[in-house]
Amino acid sequence: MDAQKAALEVRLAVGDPQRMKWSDFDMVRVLNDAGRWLFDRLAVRGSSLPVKRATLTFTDGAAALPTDFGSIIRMEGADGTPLFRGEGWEMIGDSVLSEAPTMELLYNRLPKRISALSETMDIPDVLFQSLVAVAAATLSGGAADGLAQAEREAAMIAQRREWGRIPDGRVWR
Amino acid sequence: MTVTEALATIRRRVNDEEERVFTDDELVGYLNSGVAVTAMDLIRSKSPKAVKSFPLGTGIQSAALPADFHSLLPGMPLYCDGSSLNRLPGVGSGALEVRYFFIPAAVSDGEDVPLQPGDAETAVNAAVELALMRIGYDVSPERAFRLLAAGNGVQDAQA
Repeated sequence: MDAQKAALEVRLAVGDPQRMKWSDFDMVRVLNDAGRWLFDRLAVRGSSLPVKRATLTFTDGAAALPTDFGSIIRMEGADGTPLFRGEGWEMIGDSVLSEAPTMELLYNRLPKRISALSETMDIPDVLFQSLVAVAAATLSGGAADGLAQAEREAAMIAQRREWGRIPDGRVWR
Repeated sequence: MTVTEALATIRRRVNDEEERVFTDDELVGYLNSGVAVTAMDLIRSKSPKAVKSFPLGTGIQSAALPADFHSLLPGMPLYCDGSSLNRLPGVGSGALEVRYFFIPAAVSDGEDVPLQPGDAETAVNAAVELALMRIGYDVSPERAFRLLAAGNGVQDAQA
């Protein structure tokens, strides 16, 4: 996602196109926060948008978690068998411990922070309006409002996007 | 508006076109005070007209305070230590546009009044007040007119 475009939309939403109340630095900060809150809330609601897969290669019985790791969905053996925690692996801090050579980690990622609006955000365009809404709510009302908006946006996106309509099989209506 | 035009207006308003009461130097001084007062009003109402910027290049940690510096715009990742502007620790060292409120430098006869047309009028009105105060006038009507003409509050409503 183009951070510059997102920042412009946020500025229009909060009535600051002249850049008099909030700096570009503020925009970078709230867009980063908004992205992470949104991904976190989507993950809680079981959306597939934050889902990512990584192969962990263990060296001396340990492998570092991916840098964009947010929360675990499941661990799989090299053959794809789901493995519960304690079944040959353990997670401690930002490391996974195992005697196996490799494992597959299915996890929810958090978007990487940008440091300037010229950078591209690692967030799909489908979340553009939601990201803008969360960032604008954060600027207007603070972190609590931003988080509440992220919760609302995630509630709307997660269900609509993941679940198809179930056809009504009844012969009467 | 040129300073010469401003002086002519001020002289008409204070009834001293014959230069019997005020010297040009004195009136230019009042005009410069009027410019500063008007610039402060613009800053108070967060007008984009009171903003200047300069680039802080990649890797450069601080810059000397510009001569016309008043204050930083909200949210600038910098701090001012009296004589220089410095990056806040931890903000990185990428290229940065430093945006700040400024007070125009004093001008002298022959130059332009360093404000946009409407604001230059406000500076002239303030200079008239100062000149009339010096000779003992109660300038309440002039002040009321200046505040009305400057549209104080309009910028706040837009903010």
